[in-house]
Amino acid sequence: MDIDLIFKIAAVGIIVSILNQVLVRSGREEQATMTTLAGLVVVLIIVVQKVADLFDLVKGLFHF
Amino acid sequence: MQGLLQATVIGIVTVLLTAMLRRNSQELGILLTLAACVLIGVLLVQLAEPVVEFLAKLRNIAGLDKTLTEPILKTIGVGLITQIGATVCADAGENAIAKLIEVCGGVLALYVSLPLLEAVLSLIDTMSGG
Repeated sequence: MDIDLIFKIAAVGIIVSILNQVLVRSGREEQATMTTLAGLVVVLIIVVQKVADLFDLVKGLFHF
Repeated sequence: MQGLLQATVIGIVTVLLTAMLRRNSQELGILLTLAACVLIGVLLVQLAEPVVEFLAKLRNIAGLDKTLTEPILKTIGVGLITQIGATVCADAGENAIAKLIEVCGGVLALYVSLPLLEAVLSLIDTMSGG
């Protein structure tokens, strides 16, 4: 089942938010921002691939 | 039935995880929602495949031309993609973009069904003897 994707994204989110809090508490705010940004980019790449898959599927089925 | 169960499970799990993620990073929550929408959309398209094949069979029996039924299918596809995009944007709080995507989908649906309208126009033209 494809629910692995959901868990993967949620895991990245939880790890990023924990890292963010640890870095903010230890006074490295710019590194915390960069961590958030990196997590966002990683998840964005995964999701964009899936969106492209969906678009291809719709194109194939509905004769675009 | 299996597909419906899968869609429900994906939806509920995503709602729970998004509620947790929204507290710390809103953008990842939005991406999670988008991923779930895409997964359920893929499921939906796979479920719709037999229906579309049945429609093609029906068209063959009726002896209709392919250009007559294709706009309908295309419009369904346009509606599906528009709905997913607009709902995700509206969920993220960007109502203006959501509305514009919907308008774009409407215009595109009209554009896709232009051949049908032209066929009707030419039919009227031949019937009126012009």
